[in-house]
Amino acid sequence: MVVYMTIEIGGTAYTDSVSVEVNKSTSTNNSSSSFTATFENTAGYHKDDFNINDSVVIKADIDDTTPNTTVFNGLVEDIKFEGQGSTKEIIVLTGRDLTARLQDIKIEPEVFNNTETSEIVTDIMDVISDITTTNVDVTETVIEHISFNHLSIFDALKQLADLSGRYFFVDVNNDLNFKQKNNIVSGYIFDNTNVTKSQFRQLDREIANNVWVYGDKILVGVRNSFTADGGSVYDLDYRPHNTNVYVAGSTTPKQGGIFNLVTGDVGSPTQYLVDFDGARAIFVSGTQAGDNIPTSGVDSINIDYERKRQIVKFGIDRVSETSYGRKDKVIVDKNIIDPSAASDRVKQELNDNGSPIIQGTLNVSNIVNIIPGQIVNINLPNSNQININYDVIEVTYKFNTKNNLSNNVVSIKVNRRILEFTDTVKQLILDVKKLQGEETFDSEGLTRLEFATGSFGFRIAEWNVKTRNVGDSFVLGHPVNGKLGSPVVGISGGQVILGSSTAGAFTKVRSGTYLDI
Amino acid sequence: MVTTNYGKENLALQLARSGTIPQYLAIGSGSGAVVPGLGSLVAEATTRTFYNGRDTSTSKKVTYTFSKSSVAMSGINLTEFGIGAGSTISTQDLWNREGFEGLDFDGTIEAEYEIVFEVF
Repeated sequence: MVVYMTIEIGGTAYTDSVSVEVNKSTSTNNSSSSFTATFENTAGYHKDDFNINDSVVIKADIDDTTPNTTVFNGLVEDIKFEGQGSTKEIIVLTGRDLTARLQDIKIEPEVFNNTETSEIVTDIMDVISDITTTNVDVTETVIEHISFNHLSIFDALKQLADLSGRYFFVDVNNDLNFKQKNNIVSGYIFDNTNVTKSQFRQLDREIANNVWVYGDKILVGVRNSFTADGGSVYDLDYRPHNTNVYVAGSTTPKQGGIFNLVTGDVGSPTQYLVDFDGARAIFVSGTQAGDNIPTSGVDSINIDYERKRQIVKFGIDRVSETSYGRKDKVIVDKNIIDPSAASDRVKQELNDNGSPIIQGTLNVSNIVNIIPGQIVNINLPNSNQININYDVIEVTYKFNTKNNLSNNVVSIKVNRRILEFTDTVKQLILDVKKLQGEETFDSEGLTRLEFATGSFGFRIAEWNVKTRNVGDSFVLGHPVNGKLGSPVVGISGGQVILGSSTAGAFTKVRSGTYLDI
Repeated sequence: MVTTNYGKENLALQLARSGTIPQYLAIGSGSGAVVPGLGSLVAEATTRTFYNGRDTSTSKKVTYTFSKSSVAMSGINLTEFGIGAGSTISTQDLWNREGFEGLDFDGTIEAEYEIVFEVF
């Protein structure tokens, strides 16, 4: 069996590629599908054939010289010329599929409440016109609250997918697939008849069975009431924010200051001080400070303030803890401003990370059309994988003469991705974005500055003044040529003639043209 | 924020419809710098002339043509012309002013004027 591959770039089919590599991926892998194509460029043979944003379509099939199975549909994003002398020159093209659009476009600040997940997905996809949403499946998950502040669409979809047990990818028809995990069975079985190389790895590095999720802090109102006892210090139940103090039934709040920062000198308007850490309100007293102490046994004191309540949820997976020992994970996400969202996050973390991660990598033959996200059956007893179903999370194609002829093009990655250094960096970047986006909210007014081609203008493209001699033509009202009949003659000395047969054509004598400099 | 070719083409066609479109030729003998804010010739002479031809066959362009007889041009040192919306001379309604080296008309020659407006 032989694998045949075609690559079409910018609408032109090329048959002289040295190698083509395609990596098909889903959100589970935190990346888009991509391709790398290498061409010989001897003496600049292909020097002006390729352009950034050219379309790329790669097809492959087994034992079919005109393959029809599309394995990649995307765009050229990087063109690299390499060479040594004029005979060892190559061009390396790389690019991504339209998942790149999801990574390139950020969501303007937007909040969703009590919305089913797929509705949120289709709403935020509205800004992308060249990706359809036909395969965004309705979920059973209603998100009670979620906000996006200039987060990339890809990262937003990743959050939604994680919360609803879905994965997503943009297929070769440029349609967004938002599908339930572990749900689509491919029917493929991989065993010793079609697996040429395999690796399975199991590790407990990512296990978490005691999970804390801290969300944002919310201010809530509190009132502490007292009857004046002659003292100056009144203890509050909580550390106070935005404090107002009312004495003797007055509706006018007292003038406040900060404890240890402001002293209530005589003549100072300050009447009380707030000791935040001590959770106290202290009336300034004494003759030097001006006596502001409420009258003992008579004056009522109402202290209104707000206290911060942090959204925090904790969850534990005792089965996991018994099996693998206690492994803690603390998540701090100020974008969580709803307790139920924090609960959902705890459940998701325990569900995803309660067990060790198994990741498998297989080189397979005789099969080309494997779609990430689908379930495959693996039966490799020597690796302790006996008829186990796994999700495909990544498919890699390495087309070159040797691999194509030996039917050794495809490798797949299954089950769970073991986090790598790049994932850590990616998470750091996301965390920084979240921090930066915390104070970003939707604005009623937004100044937009746009640059674009296609605006219109108006100009004089050309003007001409042309003349011609009237000769002996009759001209009504003309002092000479306006008279007919012998012996009268025209200005050219001949008989005046009706019509303009002697006048000839107009000649351009003055003109102007717009020059596009 | 993109103006399409279709939009430009049809905008150009609006220049050949009714309303305060350029349709009367103004000629003059004035001189001096072309001032976009002027809206009239420097020294407009004689009456204005209605166009005798409009051509919209070229995409995004409208070509106006005007004729002036040898009698109408007689005695004029032509140095400027423009096209305006109305027939009343010296009105600030010109869409353009073109200035050039003087051209004497002594009654023996007639003139044709041609101007091409373009939306780009």
